[in-house]
Formats: sequence, structure tokens, C-alpha cells
Amino acid sequence: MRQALRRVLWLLPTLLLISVAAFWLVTPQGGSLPKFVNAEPRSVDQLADTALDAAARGDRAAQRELVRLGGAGLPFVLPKLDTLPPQRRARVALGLMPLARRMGVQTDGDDATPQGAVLFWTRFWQDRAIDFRPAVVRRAVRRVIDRPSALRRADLRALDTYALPELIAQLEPIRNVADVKRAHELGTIAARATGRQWLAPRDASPAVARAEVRRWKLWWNGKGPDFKAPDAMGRLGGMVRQTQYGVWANRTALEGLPDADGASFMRRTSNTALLMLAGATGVVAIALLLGWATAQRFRWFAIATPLAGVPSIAWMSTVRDGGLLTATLAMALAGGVVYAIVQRSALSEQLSGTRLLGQVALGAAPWRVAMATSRLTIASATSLIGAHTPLLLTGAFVAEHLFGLSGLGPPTIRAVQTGDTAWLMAVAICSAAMTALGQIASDVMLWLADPRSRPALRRRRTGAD
Amino acid sequence: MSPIALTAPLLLAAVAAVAFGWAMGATAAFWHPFWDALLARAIEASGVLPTVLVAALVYAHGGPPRWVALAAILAFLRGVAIARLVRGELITSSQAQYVLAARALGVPKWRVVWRHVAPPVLLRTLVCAAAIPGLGLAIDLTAGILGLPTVARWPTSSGQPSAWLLAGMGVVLTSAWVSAASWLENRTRRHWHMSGPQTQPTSLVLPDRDC
Repeated sequence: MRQALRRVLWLLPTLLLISVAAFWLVTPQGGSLPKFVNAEPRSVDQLADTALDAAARGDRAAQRELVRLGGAGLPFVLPKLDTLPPQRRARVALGLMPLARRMGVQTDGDDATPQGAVLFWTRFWQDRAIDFRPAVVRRAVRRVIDRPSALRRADLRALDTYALPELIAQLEPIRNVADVKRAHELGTIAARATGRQWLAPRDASPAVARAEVRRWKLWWNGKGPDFKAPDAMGRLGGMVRQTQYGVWANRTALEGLPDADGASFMRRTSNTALLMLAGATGVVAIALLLGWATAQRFRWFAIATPLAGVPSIAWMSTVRDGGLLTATLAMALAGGVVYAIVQRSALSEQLSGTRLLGQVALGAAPWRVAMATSRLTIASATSLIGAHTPLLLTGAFVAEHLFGLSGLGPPTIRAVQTGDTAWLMAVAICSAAMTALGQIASDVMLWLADPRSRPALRRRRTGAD
Repeated sequence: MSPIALTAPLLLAAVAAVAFGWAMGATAAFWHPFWDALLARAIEASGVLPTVLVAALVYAHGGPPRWVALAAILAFLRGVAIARLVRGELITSSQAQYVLAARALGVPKWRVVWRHVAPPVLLRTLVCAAAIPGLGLAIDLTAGILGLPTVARWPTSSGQPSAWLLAGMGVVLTSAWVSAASWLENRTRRHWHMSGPQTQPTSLVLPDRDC
């Protein structure tokens, strides 16, 4: 039991590693981001520097980029304004004037001339540079949350996108009406700075507001690095977060498991798991019968099982209205047939022990023989199930496909055809978890069913075997 | 490509799986524990997705022809399973009494491995490998049933009852491969005068776990 618990605890790091391997497999080549490591993660300082150089040369797109970066980019743009030649400085200052309007800090006539724009931004930075500090932002956001007023909103608005990290962080949690109002207050300011919309009204229900906050968080998951200047650790984290894998992981953390055709992932998983369980039950049932028949020297049983089983399954597949029940029976029979084929000779070898032969020779009652063989056959069956969980999953997919059931199979096939990474990753992790848990369960059953296996399992734990 | 023609690359995959499995399994058994841990993680990773889906994803990525991709996937995934088997059997065999006796008699280490440790393990490995062509055909057939891209041209129509019959045929085909390999193993073992239980103590406890 200690070993089982230890393996359950190891499941999380194992799943993490497996998710990396699965992501490598399921994502197509290419894309704007690297898959796992981004050697040059985006940050506002880097984007602002690049845009400043181009804007100074008169590039309109770069000037728009500076406006998009907004207040978050100002600490990296305005201090460098004096280092530019006068003509270039004027171009940048003029290009930034739409930002001044958005921040609500522009006075009439400031942008009339290039010299006026330069003078405006120089004075602005002299007056307001001290406000572009994280502590000031936190205080300004807190003041708006505690007691919103026009003046306090204007203070926050003047910080523009520089306040976004704190604004986004304070959108959650949403439990009641007061939280909805807070989120609306902050969301409206964030919407103005980013040009996006805050869709949940002030009197919306908490559920609607939560959905809106989730929408914003998803947006922030992709665009957040454009408005943040990370420290060394943040930059290191950005090397992982700003990758396809990082974006997927964040998105999954925010959105949870994907849905397909209106049915949740967990609901579909339960249907598939039922079919897999049926297959496993079929394996154990046929194993018990096969063990008993082998001990009784009924050799025909091992051959008859597949010969009768395959046509029976084929017939079952013609029963279209049978639904889940027929599919479950077919899976159970299929599991048994596969077991009979694969393990027949191995089982025969195992049951050739002198003790069992002696029992049969001495005319032991059939139930006594069955009891004697059951331990061996259960051990054999569980070890097979534990090692071949993906095979059961494949069988479940086929059964769902043939019987038209709502499980993981049909959307997974579609996801393979369309390259739906989110769904495939969910299936991969779910499958890995089921495989790992199946192996742990099979080891526990093996431990209980066959005492002779215990030394081997102990050796496996200690690494001796 | 016809299913019969597909058997040729699948046989090559079986050979590659044995070579890969032996290299990895022997490394894990006799070298640093790091390789052992790496093998354990590889085994877990190899069971993440059903092989039929892995094959479909690899086909979707483009690159080599499908028959090459299928052979490579099987060589890797079954190679990992064989590596696990080889590792366990090598460790067990190297502690057997006849191996200890050979060492005590001063037989060189390489000869102990070559003459006493490797042969029984190789036999079990070959049985596993023999199932690979049948398994490959079954995987390709399953892909056809599910409506995924296949390598061979299978006479399936999605959702028709005949699909189950064909799947049954695939299972029987795999079974035939396994049975033939088992027969070969038994014949060879008798030829070498090796009795099963003495050379395969773990098979009593964890039967066919790795194949």
C-alpha cells in the first residue's frame, strides 16, 4: 500500500513530463511562438525600444505601436526622448499625442506644433515619472476599489496600460454583487487603456462577470507580456510562459478541460471509462473461465472463445439500437477474446504446477479447482490490463465509433483530423493518468491475488528488479 | 500498398525494435541508474496515447512516407516495451545460480553474458518482436475503421458490420504471429536444453507483462 501511495504521489511530476512529450507530438510545426523554450521572451522594454527607433524615423506603424504599448512603454520611451535629434524627437512626441488624449492628460493646443508636443512630454515626465512605480499603481487601484470617484479614476487612467497587471490581478475573485461592481470599475478602466470592451454591466450577475473576467484573463495570457517589464526571474519565467506549451498550460488552467458538441470532457470520459471497465471485466471473466478450463484439460475452450467471440461481436455491431448496453457487452467479449488469444499458452504454462495437477488427478471438486486457479488467472489478467490500458482505450474508441456513442472517441478522431491541440492534450493526459492508475490498481490487485508476486513487486520498488 | 506488402516494413520494424530494446534494456540493467529512470519515464510516456492516434498525428505532420512512419513508431514504442523486458530478464538471469557458477569458474564476463545470460532473454525478446508485424497490421486496420489515414488499402467502410469482422481478422492475424513465435521459442529452447522455469522465474509472477 505504501508503494501504491508513493506511485500516486509521483503521478503529478510524471504527468507533467508526459504532457511535454505529448505536446511535442500533437502540435504542428511552425507557429509564432517556439514550442518549449523562448530564448527571447517579449517584454514592454524590448518592444518600446524597437518601436522608438522606428517611430523616430517616421514609421507610422511604430508610432501606433508606441500608442498601443501606452503608459507601460512610457518609462522606456520618455527618458530617451532627450537623446534623440530634434527632428526625430518631434516625430516621436507627435506620434505619442493620441496616447495623451487616451490618458486624459492633454490640454488644448499641446499637439499643435512639434515643439509643443516635445515640451508637453518633457514636462509630463518631469511631473509624473514618480507615479510610474508599482507601489503607486497598487495604491491607486486600491483607492478606486475602496471608494471610486472621478478623481481617483482619473489618477488610474493617467497611468494607462502601466496599471494593467494590477488591474487584471484585482478583477478576481467574484463571489457577490460587490465583487461585480469592483470588477466593472476596474474592467472599464482597463478597457479604455487597451481599446477592448468590458461587456459585463455593473448590475450583471456574478456568473456573467466571472465569464467576462475569464475572457480578459485569456486575453492577458497572450498579450500580458506586451505590458510588463519583468525582472530577472520574470524573464526566466517568460522563457517558458511565452511558448506554445506555456500558453496552452495557462489557457487550460483558466478555461479547464475543453467541451465537445455540448458534452463536457468529464462526461465523455465517464462513458469511455465505462467501456474500458467493461473490457477489463471481460478480460478477468474469461481469464477465470479459461484458467478453470485449462486446469480441467478442456483445451477446446481456449480455441472456442475467439472462434465464437469474433462472430458474436460482429453480430452485436449490427444491433444498432442496442446503444451503450450492447457496446459494453461487445467490449467485454472483445477483452475476453484478446486475453484468450494472447495469454492462452502462458496460462497453460503457469497452471502446469504439480499441486494443481495433483488436485485434478485426485478428483477435486470443480469449485475447488476454480478457487485454486483463480489466483493465478486474476494475477495474469490484471497484469495484462495494467500494461495495456491504451489498448482498452483504442477498443473503446472503436466501440464508440461503431455504436455511435457519445464518448471521447468521436471528438478525438475529429481533433486528430483538424489538429485541435487542446482536445488532444486533454485526451493524452487523461489517457496517461488512466494508464498510470490502471497499473497501480493492477499491482495492488496482483499483490492481493497472488502472494508469490509480493517479493517481485518489493524488488521493483527498491530497484532490485 | 497492400496489407501483405506492408508486412515487409513491419518486419524491419520488429528487427529495429529488438535492436533498440536490447541497447536500452542492457544499458538500464548494467549501467548508471539514470538510464534506468529514463527507461521508466519512456515506458510511461509510450503509453500516453493509443498507437493508432500517435500514427495519425505523425502522418498529419507530413515528413516521411506513412509506411516509414508506422514502422518507426512501432520500432520505438515496442522497442521501449522490449527494453523493459530485457532489463528485467537480464537482471534476473545475471543472478541465477548457473550464472554465478560460471563466474565462480572464472569464465570471462563477456562470455558469461553471451553464453548464459543473453540466450533465454533473446528468446523471449523474439517472441515479443514477432507480434510486431501483426500488431502493425491491426493498428492500420483500426485506423481504417475509425476513418483515420492508413498505410495499406483495407476493404473497410466506416461503421459497417464488416469492420468488426476485419478487426477480428486482425486479432487472429496477430495471434498467429504470436503463436508461431511461441512455437519457435519452445523448439529452440528444447534444442538448447533449457527448461522454462529455471530461466524465466519472473514469468511465473508477472506473466507476459511486457508483451
